[in-house]
Amino acid sequence: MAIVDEQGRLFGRLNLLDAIVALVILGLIPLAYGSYVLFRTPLPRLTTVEPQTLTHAPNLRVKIRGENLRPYMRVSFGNHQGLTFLFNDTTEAEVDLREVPPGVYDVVLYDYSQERSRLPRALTIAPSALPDAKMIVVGTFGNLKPDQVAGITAGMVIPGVGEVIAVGKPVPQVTRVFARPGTVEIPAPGATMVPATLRMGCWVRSNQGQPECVGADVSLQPTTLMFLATPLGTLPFQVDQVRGLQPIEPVQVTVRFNGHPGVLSRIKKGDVDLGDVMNELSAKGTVVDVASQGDPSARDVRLVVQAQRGTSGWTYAVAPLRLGGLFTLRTPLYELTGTVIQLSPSPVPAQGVRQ
Amino acid sequence: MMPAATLRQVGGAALGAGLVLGVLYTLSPLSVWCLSLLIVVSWRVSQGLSPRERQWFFALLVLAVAARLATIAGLFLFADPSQPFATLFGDEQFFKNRTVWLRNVGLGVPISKADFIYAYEDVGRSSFLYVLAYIQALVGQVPYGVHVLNAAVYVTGVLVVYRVVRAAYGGAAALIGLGLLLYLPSLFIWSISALKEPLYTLVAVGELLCALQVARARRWQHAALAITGVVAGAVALESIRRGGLLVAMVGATAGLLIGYLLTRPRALVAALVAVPIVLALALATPAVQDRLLYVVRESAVYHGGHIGSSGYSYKILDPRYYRDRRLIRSMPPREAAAYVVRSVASYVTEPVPWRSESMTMRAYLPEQIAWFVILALVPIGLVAGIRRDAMLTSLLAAQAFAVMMMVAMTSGNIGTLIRHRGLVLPYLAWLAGLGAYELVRVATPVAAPTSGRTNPHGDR
Repeated sequence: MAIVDEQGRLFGRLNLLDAIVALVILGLIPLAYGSYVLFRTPLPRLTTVEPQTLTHAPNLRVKIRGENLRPYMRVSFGNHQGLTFLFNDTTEAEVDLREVPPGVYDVVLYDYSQERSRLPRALTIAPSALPDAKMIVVGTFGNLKPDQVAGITAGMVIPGVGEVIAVGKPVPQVTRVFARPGTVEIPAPGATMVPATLRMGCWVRSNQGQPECVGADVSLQPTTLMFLATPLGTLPFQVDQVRGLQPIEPVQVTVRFNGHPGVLSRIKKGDVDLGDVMNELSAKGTVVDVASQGDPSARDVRLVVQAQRGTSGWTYAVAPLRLGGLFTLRTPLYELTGTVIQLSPSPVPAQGVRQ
Repeated sequence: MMPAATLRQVGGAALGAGLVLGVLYTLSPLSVWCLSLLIVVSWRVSQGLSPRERQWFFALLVLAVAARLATIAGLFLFADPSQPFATLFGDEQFFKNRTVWLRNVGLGVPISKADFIYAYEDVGRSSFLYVLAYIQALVGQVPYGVHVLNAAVYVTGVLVVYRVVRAAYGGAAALIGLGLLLYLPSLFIWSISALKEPLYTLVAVGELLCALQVARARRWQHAALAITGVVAGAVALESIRRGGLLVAMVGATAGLLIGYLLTRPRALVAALVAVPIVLALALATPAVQDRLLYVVRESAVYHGGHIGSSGYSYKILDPRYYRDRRLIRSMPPREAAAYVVRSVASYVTEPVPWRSESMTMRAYLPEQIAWFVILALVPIGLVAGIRRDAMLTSLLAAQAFAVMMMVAMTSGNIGTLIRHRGLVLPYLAWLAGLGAYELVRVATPVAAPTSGRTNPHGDR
C-alpha cells in the first residue's frame, strides 16, 4: 500500500493536510511547555536567617539564606523594612537593619510586586545589656556660612542626635586632624566655626573590650569629627570635650608645682587652664592665687576648677581630682604638672545622676 | 450538506486554531484580547475601501503591528535576568511597579510597606495607573502585555481618525497620514511604551470625534450627547495628564468656532474685524494682564525645573533665572512675552541639528528633518483641508495648537519635548498627509480621465 494514496490520504486513513496540522499542533504543545519551563521565574523561598538572635543596637546586619533569590528583592522584619539587600548569590544575601527595637520578628521576603516567603518569628532582637545613655559634648560646628552662624542657637534640636544647650562666640575655622604622634590644625580661610555644647544620646558598646558611648554613629571622644543632619543642613561638628550629665560645680584646688624657677615665675593670677583644646564652653580652671613659700623652684597655686561630682569623688578634665593626685595646668604659654595638696569642698559621692 | 471530508478538515482547522489560541491565551491573555480588538477595528475601518486601497491599508497596518510585536518580543527575550522585567525607558518601571502594587492592594495580596507608600504617592499620579491596575486584576501581571495593550490602544486611536479623515480628505492623503503615525520612529517607540501617551492619544481621539459630532449632529439631542462626550473626554484627559482638560476645551471650542466661521463668509469677515478689537481690549485690562503674566511665569518656573533634570535641556530664559528660579515669579512682562515667543520657537526647532550632543540625538536627526518637513506641509494641508472639510480641519488645527502651546510653554528637557511632541502629531500628521498629497497633485500633470471616475483625489 502506498504511504499517500491517490486521494492524498496517509496510509489510506488520514488526509495529508490534516496530518500536517495535527503534527504542528502536537509540536506546539511541547514547545509551549518548554517555553514555560524556560521563561518561568521560579518562586523564591527563605530557609534561614543568621544569626537568629541579635543584641539591640542602632545598626545591625543579618544574613538570609534561601532559594531562587534575586538582586531586586527586599526583606522586612515585621513592619521594619531592611535597609539593604546585598545579593551574594541566589541562595544568600545580607540585610542591614537600622533602629529596629527589641522584639521577635517574622522575616518576610518580597519581590518587586508582593510577599513571596515568610519565616515566622525567625529573628529575635534582644534588649541591650546596657541602657541607652546621654552625654554632654563640647565642640564646634564648623565650615559655617554667615546665615548658618546666626541659626545655631541654644534649644536647636538635631533629630536623632540631641539638643544644643549652649552656644559660644564665632571663631575662625580650624579643623584638627590626627597626625602621629598628635594632631595638626588645619585652618580654613573665610570659614567660621561656632563653639557649642550638645546634650547627645548615645549607646554603650564594647569595642574589643573597651566600653565606649556611640552617638551619631561614632564613638564620642575628643577630636571625633561628626557630620550632623541639623535643621540648617548637614554640618561638621568636632568634639573638644566629653563629660557626664552631672552639673558643673566650682571646686577650690591647691596644687604644688615643682620645677624650673623661670617657668614657675610665669604663673599668674587669672591664668586659665585650657585643657587640650581652647573652647570657651569647655569645663576649665582659673588661677586665683600663687604662693612661692620662699622656694623659687616650688609654687602653691590655688585654682577654681569646674568639676563634676562622680561616684568616687570629684572629676575634672576626664580625670579624678584627689589629694595627692596629679594635676596638669595648661595655658598657651606653659604646661606644668603638680600634686593636689588641698581640695575644697571635700568630695561627697553623687546620690544620683540627673538625666 | 457539507461532505464528510470537508467537515473533517473544517473541524480539524477549528480544533487546531482553538488549541493555538489556548496556548497563546495561557502565555499572554492580554495580548490575545488586544490583537482581537485590533482585528475587529481594522476590519471595521477597512469597510468601503477599494481593493487597491485595502491592499495598501492592510500592508501598512500588518507590517506596523508585526514590527511592534517583534520589538516587544525582543524586549522580553533580551531582558536582564537580574531584573524583574525589561523596560524601554526608565519611567516605565514606575508604571509597571506601581500598577502591580495597586492591583495587589486591591486584591489583598500582601506587599512591602515601603511599596504601599510609593503606590499612593502624589508624584506621577494618573488615571492610567488605575486603568492598568484594574486590567492586571482581571488578567494577572502583564509586564510585557502592557506594551501590547498600549500598541493596540494607540493603533486603534489612529485607525479611528483614519476613517474620519479618509472620508474628508480622500484615500491617498489619509494613507500618507496613517503611514506617518504608524512609522515615525519616535511615535513607534512611544506607542509600544508602558507610558500613558497611547491612552492619552485614544481618549483625545474620542474627544475630537465628539467635538466633530457637535457640529455635524442633525438633532439637538445628538448635539447635547456629543457635548457631554467632549466634556467627559476633557475630564478623562485631565485625569491622565495634568492640563488635559484645558487643552481639550480650548481646542474643541476654538476649533468649532473657527470651523463655523470658515463656512460663513460674512460672519468670518465680522470676526476678523471683531477679534483683534476684543483681544486688544482684553489685553488692556489689568486683571487679564495679571492673569496672563501669572500663567507665563508659572510655565517658566516649570521650564526652569527641567534644566536640572537628567538628560539634555535647552535654555530660553536669562541665565539669572536659572541660578535662582524664585526670580522667575517676578519676571517683567517684556521678558515674559519674549519667553513665550522663544518657547514656541524652541518647540519647533529643538533639538537643533548643529547642537546634537550625543549619539542618541544624532540618531534622532533624520526624524528631526522629517518633523521639519511635516511642519512645512501642514500649511498646505490646512488650506486644502479648509476647502474639503473646514470643521474637521479647524478642529485638528485648534487641538494641535492647544497641545503645542501647553507643551512648548512648560518644556525644557529635550527628551521630554520629543516625547510630548508625539501628542501633537496625531493631529498634524493628517494635515501634513493632505499637504503632501496636494503638493504631488499640483506637481503632477493630470491625465485626461479614462474612466467614469469623477474623484481625482482617490477613494473616499
